[in-house]
Amino acid sequence: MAIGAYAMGSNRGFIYIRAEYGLAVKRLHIAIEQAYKYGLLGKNILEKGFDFDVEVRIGAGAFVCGEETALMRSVEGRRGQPQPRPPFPAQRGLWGKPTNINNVETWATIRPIILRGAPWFASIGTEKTKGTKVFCLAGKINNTGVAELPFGTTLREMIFGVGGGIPNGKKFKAVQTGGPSGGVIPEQHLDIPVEYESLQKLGSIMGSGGMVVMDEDSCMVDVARFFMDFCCDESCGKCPPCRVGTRQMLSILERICNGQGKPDDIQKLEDLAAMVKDSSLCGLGQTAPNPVLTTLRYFRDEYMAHIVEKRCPARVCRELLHFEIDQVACKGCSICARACPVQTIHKVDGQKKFYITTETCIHCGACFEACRFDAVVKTSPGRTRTETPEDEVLAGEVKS
Amino acid sequence: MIAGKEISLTIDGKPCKGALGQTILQVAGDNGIEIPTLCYLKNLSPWGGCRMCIVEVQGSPKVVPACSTPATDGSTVITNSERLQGLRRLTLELLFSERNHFCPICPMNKGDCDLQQQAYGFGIDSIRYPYLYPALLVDVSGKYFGLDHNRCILCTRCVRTCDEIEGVHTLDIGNRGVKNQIVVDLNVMFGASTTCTSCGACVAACPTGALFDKSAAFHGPLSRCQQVRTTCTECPVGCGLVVYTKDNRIVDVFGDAESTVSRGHLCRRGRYETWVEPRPRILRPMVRRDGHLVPTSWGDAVHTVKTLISASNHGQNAMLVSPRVTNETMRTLQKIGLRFDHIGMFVADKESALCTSPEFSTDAMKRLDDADGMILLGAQPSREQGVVAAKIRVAVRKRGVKLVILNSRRSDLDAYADISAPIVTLERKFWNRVGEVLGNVKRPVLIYGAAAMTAVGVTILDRLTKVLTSQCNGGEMLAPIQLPTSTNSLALAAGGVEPVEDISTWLGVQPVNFLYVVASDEPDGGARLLKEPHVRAFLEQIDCVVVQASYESALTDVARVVLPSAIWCEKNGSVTNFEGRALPLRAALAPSGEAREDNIVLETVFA
Repeated sequence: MAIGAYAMGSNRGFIYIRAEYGLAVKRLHIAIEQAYKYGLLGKNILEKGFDFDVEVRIGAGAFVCGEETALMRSVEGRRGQPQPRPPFPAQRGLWGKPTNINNVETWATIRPIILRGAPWFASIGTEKTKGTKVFCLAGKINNTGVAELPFGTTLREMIFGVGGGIPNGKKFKAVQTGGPSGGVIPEQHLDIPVEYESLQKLGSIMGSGGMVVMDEDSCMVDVARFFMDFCCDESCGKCPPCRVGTRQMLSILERICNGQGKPDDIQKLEDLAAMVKDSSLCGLGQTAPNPVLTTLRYFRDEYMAHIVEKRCPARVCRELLHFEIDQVACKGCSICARACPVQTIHKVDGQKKFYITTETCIHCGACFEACRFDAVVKTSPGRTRTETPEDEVLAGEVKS
Repeated sequence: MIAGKEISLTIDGKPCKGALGQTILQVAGDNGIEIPTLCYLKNLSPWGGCRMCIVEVQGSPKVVPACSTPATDGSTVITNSERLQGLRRLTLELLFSERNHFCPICPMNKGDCDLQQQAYGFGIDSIRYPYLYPALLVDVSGKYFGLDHNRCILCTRCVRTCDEIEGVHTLDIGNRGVKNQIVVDLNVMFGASTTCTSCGACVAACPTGALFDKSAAFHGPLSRCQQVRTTCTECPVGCGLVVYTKDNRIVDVFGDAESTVSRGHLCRRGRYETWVEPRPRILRPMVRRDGHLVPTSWGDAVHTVKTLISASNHGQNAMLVSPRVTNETMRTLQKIGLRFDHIGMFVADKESALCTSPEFSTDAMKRLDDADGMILLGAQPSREQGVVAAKIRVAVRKRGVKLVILNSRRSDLDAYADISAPIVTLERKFWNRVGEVLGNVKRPVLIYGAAAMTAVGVTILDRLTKVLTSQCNGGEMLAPIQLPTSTNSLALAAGGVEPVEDISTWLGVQPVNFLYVVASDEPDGGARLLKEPHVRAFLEQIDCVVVQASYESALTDVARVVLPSAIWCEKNGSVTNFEGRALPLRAALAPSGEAREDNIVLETVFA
């Protein structure tokens, strides 16, 4: 930052960091203190007659404050809400002054570029996206953690090479890139080299470099619901598309997960997602529909299974599950009956076996987790006949 | 980049001219192209939040808000493509689904609601998404207006108005996302707010029924009311009013955006007090018979007054006039002046000194906008001239203007001041500090009120001049602004009416045995004349007092004859504000009962 400031003629710098990252804040303070001690910050740096001070500003726990205009408002001590651009930060930023705002990762590349030269840096990466990127591997993957890789590395290399593959011999299903508002990429696209353009083509983003790997046990509708819940919660509320649009999309997704999806829900989701993406004010709203759009694009059949068959293929959505006890495997240990929060598991008369009364079962899965003999069977059979009064009415209308 | 340079662009295929620095919305508006908006309000900073004014600019894949995007030379803008209309329509649908926007039970139904108008414009008769309907608070704890969160679309027009026009920043947004809500102060009820000035600007800014005037709610849509533009006569600022009336009663009062003085802003007094506060009106002429005031006809009352005048000894007739009367009344007074031996106007405390050399402060409001330093001496704008106080607050908060308050009563402005000294010392240390604060100021302006015209005030002024001349390097002192408290006192004084501050002395100096008081529509009915007990005793003793007033008061108790006078919204004519502008008064209502305008009463009595 000091180098950048020297080049730009700036005398004041801020580092914005979330309060949640306590360790990072602590280390940052130590580093800044040391830099002052060495004379790399403060007055007359390295006898060059150049002054530069760095201040740390702590965020108050808002995802949207990663958006640059919201971040600057937060640094100013105001409510973290994005502003339309123009004016861009370089025209009018912090307290109305021209401001250069960059990610820590960007600043970190400056030192090696100066030391080794631009051609060296440009030799890494792809034709359009140069250099390296720090990726954060998480989810159903053997080696979770942070890895710096050149742009152009394929997703397969990342997940099965660096990441060490999927644990417990499960099958890979999808990877979500770029954080909560990134898209979900299925197996058939694992061999694309990771760069901004290629990810965008697949409906995802580079974003934070986050990689959440999902295996066959992940329900893609549930994944979309989960991330929409996050975006809805983190929307600052300034513009209606993001504030209300994410909430409405969440309602529809919740409905589908609960087995109350309606035939036109996919159309409604697509309309809303396109609108929220198009007309939201900032990056949060513009990318929030990505998980929905990509799951609809690559896993549409799962949506259909939820809506039409009332079935969750990955056996995740609680309301669509059915629990049964395999009478052969059951050893009669009663741990399931003791784990059941609604006492709906009973002993079979005269035998050392247990059974579940389906009518009162709340599908919580406690018995499934508790059983040590894999005797509790979790299925999502779907509904073969109309069960809700609403469906009956619908059917009646069709008949008449 | 030269702001103001002419640029040309194409909007919806129409070649348009604009100036560099203008937004797309402004250029489109100037060229007769309408772009729908919700969160945009003229005179406020653009917010870019409602996403209604989104437009397509050629070369940019994303839509941009017209309200905040600068128009650029040679660009091509599309404002009404199918894509844009679809996005806007969905935005509206989402807004309608968010909270309770059931129109039939909203005070803004049928034409006063921007949201409803937009929905009509887009032909929305149903929405595709489920209603979220959170049960939110309806805060009617405020005195004059209520806040119904269920109707709020979070456009922040109220927040920005409160911050940028009134300058108090009482309102802001709390919580996040769909849980967003307007909060008052640190999330208290409106009635418990310590910063709200009840100026009502937020209500005027609200595009829906979220903020509503209690007195105006459910009295029918404003769009079906008669509108009359007139001038507020509560203080000498002379803000423009738009009075909405129906069936000869006031439905609501708003600021007149076209007023050159106030540009649509008002303070609590002009916005609400004049018509919301109950005040007992005098509706018929009354004459005292057997110790009681008895209603009578105009003819009888006028006859009684004439008899009283002819019975009184020559040289002992006096008249006291309220400084609120119109310029037309003043001219009538000049005509009939010969009939009276003494004519005075009863002004506020210490104000007579201001009136002895009446000076109008030309373009004072504009100069307040230009100043970068303000010195307030012996004035209380936040009590008396709320719109001036708002200007001062905004100047300090938005433009970093230096504010020094000297010898003024404590008020909320103290919190904004660099130096606030209700009691000024002559210590060198203090004046050095004043010098420091005003050191870099280039265009200071002195605002002084009645309390500056005392011995202490003159000493302070003397000291201040010395400090300013020695410390303000290269700055030019703007002409001082004289801020009287009585509405038309300067014009009346300029017209030769003697200001009277101390009634008892004034009555004592001359032998008076007939007193005619024109209290007009003084809110206290002129009762402040009787502040000193012996004035009342004296008036009871001469028993020959005629009171021409709009409201009942202690003064009417000592009157032999009471004549009903029209109030502010029933008057025609003009008043002259502290800038010297003659501002028109236009009657919005016919006078109540048998009340008549002051000058007509005077002409009838003294014909």
